[in-house]
Amino acid sequence: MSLLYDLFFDYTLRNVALGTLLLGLGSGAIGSFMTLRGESLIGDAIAHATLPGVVLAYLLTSTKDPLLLLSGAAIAGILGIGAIMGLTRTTKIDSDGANGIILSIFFGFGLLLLTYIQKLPDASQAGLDRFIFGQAATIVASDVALIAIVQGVVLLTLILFFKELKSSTFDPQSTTVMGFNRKIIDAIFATLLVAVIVTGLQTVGVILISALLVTPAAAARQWTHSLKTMVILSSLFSGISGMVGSLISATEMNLPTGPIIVLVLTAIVVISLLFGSRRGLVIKKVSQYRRQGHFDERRILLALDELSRSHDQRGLYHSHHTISLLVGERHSMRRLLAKLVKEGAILKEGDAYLLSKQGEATVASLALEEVHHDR
Amino acid sequence: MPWEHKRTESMNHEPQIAIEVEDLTVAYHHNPVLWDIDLSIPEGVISAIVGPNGAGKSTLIKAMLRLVPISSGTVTFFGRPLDEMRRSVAYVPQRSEVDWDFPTTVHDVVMMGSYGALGWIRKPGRREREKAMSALEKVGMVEFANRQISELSGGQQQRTFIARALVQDANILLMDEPFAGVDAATEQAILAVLRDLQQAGKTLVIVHHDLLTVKSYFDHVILLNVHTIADGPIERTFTEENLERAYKGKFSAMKGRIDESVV
Repeated sequence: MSLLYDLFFDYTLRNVALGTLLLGLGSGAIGSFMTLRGESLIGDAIAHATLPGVVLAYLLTSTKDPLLLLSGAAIAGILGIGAIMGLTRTTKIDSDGANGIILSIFFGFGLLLLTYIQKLPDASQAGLDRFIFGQAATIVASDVALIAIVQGVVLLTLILFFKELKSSTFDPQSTTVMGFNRKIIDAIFATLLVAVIVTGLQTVGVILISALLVTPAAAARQWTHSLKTMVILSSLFSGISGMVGSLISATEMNLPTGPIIVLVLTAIVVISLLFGSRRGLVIKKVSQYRRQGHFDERRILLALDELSRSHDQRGLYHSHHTISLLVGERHSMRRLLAKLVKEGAILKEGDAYLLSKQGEATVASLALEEVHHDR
Repeated sequence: MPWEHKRTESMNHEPQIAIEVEDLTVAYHHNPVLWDIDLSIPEGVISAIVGPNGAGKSTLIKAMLRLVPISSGTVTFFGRPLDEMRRSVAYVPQRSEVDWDFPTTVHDVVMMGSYGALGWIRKPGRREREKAMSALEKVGMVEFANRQISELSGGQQQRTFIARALVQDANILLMDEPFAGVDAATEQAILAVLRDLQQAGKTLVIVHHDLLTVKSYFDHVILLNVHTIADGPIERTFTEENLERAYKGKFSAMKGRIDESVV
């Protein structure tokens, strides 16, 4: 309860919770588009690419004003994404390769600069290394305001251009033919992505920010077949894990925020992969089991039909064993036979069975279905 | 040059040219995929683009639509550049060009055909939804309107794409292998839709791989093998001699089967 109390009245905790919640809402939403575009890695590459921007901004201005540092990050991020898109377009390097190249070059350069400034006198307090792992507890009200504004603009832009982003994600070529300039849509997407990433640097850090983009989208996809629902769910998953993760990190022994948020996200994604209502493993197994049962029922009916045809005398009952020979041994056989008896499709006498009138009708309709099967 | 093709004279009598391609060259990494293509497609025909693998058939359509960069040449639709004619041109890509696992329904995909007319930012409303339904009706897919696209068969995917193109209300439709990988019944259903479109005065240009059905499905043909081998009305253009040139001798092996099918 005290946590809930602190959430509302503790200055730091309130900032942290609000900041990461808002960050998650935007990142989960844009992350859905990112993964559906097949560019899951680009977020990671851009995030790493922002580091030299942060350090250079500090080196050039000697201030730690977050707005300045994040502007540096944004410029580096845009350069990074531009370089990735340029590489894939003009060379034979694919997007995985381009992401890897840009990520390592920019991040390596960023680390180099970071090591350099740590050797400068009085720079040790710069605390720029918090951008690498993120430290949610350090954010203040003005940071939260910045996050709120940026995420608000991001979400609004997503709503405005939802149609364009959706169509170009599904079928970029047809969207271009319809008159939507590919470059403009790509630029909108890239700008939103960089904006979300940059505002997440302080709280979650360079290394793990991409988890807030990819993971909630992957989890959300398990629950729905609609893009709109996926975007909303992903946004909520990301927002909630951001908030819960940062609260845990802020209260318990000052743990790094990024890793804790990722742990919460991991829990959500594992649950979704297992129990997701659309593609979760459990639902898949259940429907596979049902399909198999349904299929076996049909085979039992067809087997009984075949048996009655092959005997001159109608109305003979056939044993469980004979049916098994035709259908194949199934441990679900008893259960399926009992079910068919209950439904009235077959008649039972001792351990022997016969197709009822209703069962015959079913077999006849199955044969019809077969004819229309491929239509 | 041995490839210099003769323009078929009959073109001059047509009232209007729907698509005119002049000196079109497309190259990927120095290799010409299309070389100095000249052709004109009259209004109201169903035209087949035919040629061996690697002839540049899909690339030709994409180059017309500026989906691939062109090295030189011009393409006009009813005498105007593409940018002025986007409302009049619809593209039906190969099925394999999109991710059918995308989270959306058949109706939603078909409604995307209205996005061009809506322009930036404006959202589709009731009118667009109804239009999508009537397009689905035309291709016999109404009962699949709310189906997830991942659950469609190849033929159903193709019909969904065609319905999306119908929603665009374009005068010119460019289709990339609409008959590829669909069963015979679907092929006939698609053909019927295409015939209806032709009846309504539309011009259709279709990349086609099955030489056996060219004569019965199309009334205009473009024989392509990096260069234009020939283009014009089917009777005059779809000749043994031209096919021999397009397929560079490999055609003889197929010839027997085609003769049988034409009879």
